[in-house]
Amino acid sequence: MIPENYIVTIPIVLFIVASLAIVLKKETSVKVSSIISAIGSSTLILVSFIGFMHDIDVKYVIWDANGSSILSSLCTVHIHIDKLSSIFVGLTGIITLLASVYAIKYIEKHKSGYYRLLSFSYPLTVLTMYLLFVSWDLLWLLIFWELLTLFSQFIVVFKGDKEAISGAYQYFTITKACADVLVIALVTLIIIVTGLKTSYDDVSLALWAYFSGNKAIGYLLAILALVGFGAKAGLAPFHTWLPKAHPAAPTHISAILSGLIVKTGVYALMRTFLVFFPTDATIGLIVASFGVLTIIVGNMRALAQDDSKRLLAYSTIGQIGYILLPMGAGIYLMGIGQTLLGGFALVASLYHTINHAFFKSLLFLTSGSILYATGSRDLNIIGGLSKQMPYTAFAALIGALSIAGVPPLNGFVSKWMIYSSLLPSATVISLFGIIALAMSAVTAAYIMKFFTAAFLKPPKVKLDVNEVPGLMSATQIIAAAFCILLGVYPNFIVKVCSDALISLGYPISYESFKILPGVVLPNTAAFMPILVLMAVFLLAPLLGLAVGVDRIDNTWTTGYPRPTSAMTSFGYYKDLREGFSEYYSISKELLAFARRLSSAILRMSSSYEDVSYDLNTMLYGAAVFLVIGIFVILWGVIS
Amino acid sequence: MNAIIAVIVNVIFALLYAPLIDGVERKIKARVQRRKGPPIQQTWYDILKLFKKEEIMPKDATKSIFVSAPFMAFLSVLIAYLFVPTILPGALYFYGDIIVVIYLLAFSSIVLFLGAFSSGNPYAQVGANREMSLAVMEEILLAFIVGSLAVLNRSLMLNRMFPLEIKVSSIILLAFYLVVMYIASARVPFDIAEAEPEIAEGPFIEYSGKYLAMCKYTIFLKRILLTSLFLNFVLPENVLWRTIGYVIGVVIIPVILAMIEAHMGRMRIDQAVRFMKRLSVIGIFAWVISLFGW
Repeated sequence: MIPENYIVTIPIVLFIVASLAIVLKKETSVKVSSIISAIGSSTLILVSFIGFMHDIDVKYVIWDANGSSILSSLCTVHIHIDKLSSIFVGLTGIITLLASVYAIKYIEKHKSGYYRLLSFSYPLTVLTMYLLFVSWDLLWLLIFWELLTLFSQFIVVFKGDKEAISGAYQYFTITKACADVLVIALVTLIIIVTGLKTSYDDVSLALWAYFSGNKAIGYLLAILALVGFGAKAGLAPFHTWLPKAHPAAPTHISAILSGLIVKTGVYALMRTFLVFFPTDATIGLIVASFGVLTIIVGNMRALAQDDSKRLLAYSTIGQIGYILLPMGAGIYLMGIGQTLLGGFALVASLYHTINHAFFKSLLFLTSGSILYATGSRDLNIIGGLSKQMPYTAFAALIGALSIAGVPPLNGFVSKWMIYSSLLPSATVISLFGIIALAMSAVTAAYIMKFFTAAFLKPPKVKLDVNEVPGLMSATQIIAAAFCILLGVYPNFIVKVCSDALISLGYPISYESFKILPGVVLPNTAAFMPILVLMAVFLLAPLLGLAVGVDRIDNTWTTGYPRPTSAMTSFGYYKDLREGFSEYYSISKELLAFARRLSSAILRMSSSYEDVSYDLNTMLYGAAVFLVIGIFVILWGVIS
Repeated sequence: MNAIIAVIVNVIFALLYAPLIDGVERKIKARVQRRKGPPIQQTWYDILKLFKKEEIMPKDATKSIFVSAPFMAFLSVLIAYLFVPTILPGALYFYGDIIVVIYLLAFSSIVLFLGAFSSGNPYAQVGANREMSLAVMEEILLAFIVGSLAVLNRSLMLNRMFPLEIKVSSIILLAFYLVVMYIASARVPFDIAEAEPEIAEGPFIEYSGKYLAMCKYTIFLKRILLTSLFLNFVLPENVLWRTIGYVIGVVIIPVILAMIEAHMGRMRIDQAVRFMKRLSVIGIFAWVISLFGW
């Protein structure tokens, strides 16, 4: 039996070793670092298993400082893995394992790029993500948060072309320069409130006590946290960097960015709002409203995209909304005393976090395979790949159906839980639930656009492509298998998620879900509809094969020769989008308004210097300008 | 156990009845337009005939999706019958079943969309696009209905909603539901996806034989499913009266809808989308009233 503090250290050592691959040349360096990272990722899965069984608590004292508490907490790395952390660590392990294995072959296709930068930064990104999830100290969380942004921005820039640089620049400006300022402000304020204590236990104790006395400042802190952490998660309206940065990176990195790195924001928000802050209805409502906004923005924008990776990036924004909405709703419902529905919503939020990691990284990997095979991301040009790339097409179909929420797959279970908890609540939350339900049809529409445009519709020009190498398609199939497994057997994940929330002190019992019988849990109703569904959906292809085809003939084009104009991706749902033209024009106007506002503020602040002669007014004015300025920049001025 | 027998009877009833009532509708539409019309068993004859015909696949098609899509669509609507009672008052109820019903209906649209695209036919793609646009709008309207019903009944179980209490909100919701039902059952101003004279049956253009029969059957089953859901909302709980009411309703409603259909011309897809977008305002209104519990 290896002592725990060694087990926690093994991945750290492995990832640091992997980053040493920087000394090798070009592709080899990336391959070696990917292989070592893959081993590191597997140890992460082990760590998460052990962490879930019982909390791991390790302290590494770097330097023994007996002085002030701030200094001593900086000199000690306090690693504590509770159930919530171990869920995220496990996700990191599985997804990065798949992405690392995928990268080994995928990277061969890239003609040029900063290989050494990638081979150095990639393992360190995974490492800092792991440390962020397991650190038990606000200051160290902050440090890893910054490092994660730094390293992940290096891997975004890998290709070195205009798109990559501008994507990385925006990623930097919005998540680091702006949002991180808020996070630093938040952490500083919290440290002041807690009396220079930064351990999670102390923070949550002190904040709970503080919150009951100072509601207004408590809400201010909550909004700071929501915007600061949320910007990293792609919270609208601070999402503008995401669809530029995520597609610019090499695809296995896009999969990690969309599947995991946005989850660091979700993790920080969960840690903040579920642990540090008391379950207050107003905070819940704020989070839920931002969640709904995020759903609408992400989904409506994704509907209008013609670039496969950009479509998926916008889809990530929408799905983050589906995570934040039930989280906020859960806090709200807990706050007003509807603990059963509230607990269900919180479990749904955590479940959807897990599901999204799987299907989104799967979809990104398939889009990477398309890029690998055809060299194009443009859905207008590619098409009809299902015949040449059957395995990729199958995996993409499973991913697409999961995200659309088709019954036996994983996306359905979490979405079903979201609606089940939100709709009957008889508050404004139920309207949010209605919007989420309505938007799930849009989700289905855009993801079907992605799938059919890439794999089924005839291509613009005849493409001569082959299936991707076995290693790449194997990772996709494994991710697809997870999507099926998590949908067909949801009990395990529901148990894991509810256990994690129970360990945070929420009045949720796995048993209490038994009054919500049927799809989620057995032993409650006499049957499991999900089994019926599974049997039936397996039956359909079998029936189809049994019936078979008698004759293969030319495509029937009503007697005319084959129309030359193939369907373009641009033509998809044109009328639907025109029907919602108000939405698109409003968002355009808002963007223009934000630009005007920011330039006006710039002009005002330059003339402000002349006007201000009194030091006091100047300081107040400067503070106000700073806050407004940050918000305006975050609004997506840089685009 | 009773529920399982009821479900089996209900599914068999729906399977037998759905093509028959389509025959009745065809007869009525013909009469309204001063034609003689086919006999009412004609739809059944058509389906049986299609089952004997050979299956042709276009050479651009992706076989696996092309052949399984019609069966998937058919089976997904058939599964929805497990949760919605038809002639006998019994079904498999569980918390959140109404969401499953909606998702199954949406899934049948998604699968037909996939099937149409897998045929590689340009007309099918146009039709499938329209089908998806309509399905999105339908789901937006259905979301308001489901949300309002959930708020009104504080539950998401269908059997708690059968029958609905008589309130202002439930009457508005039922009227709203009738409109959505008319749209979702692909009747004339809204049969934009199929549009025979225009894009030659759109999504179904390349299907033949048993596959075409399955596609047609899916539409008939979907119509009866939506009608049954409506009847369940209004009929009393007493078994005898419910059965009598159901038998009358399941004949009368399609007949009335067919009469409306006979007088209509097809809308353009953009008109239909705008129309449904305007309808969603009523949905918000209905939700607000349900929130007050009126």
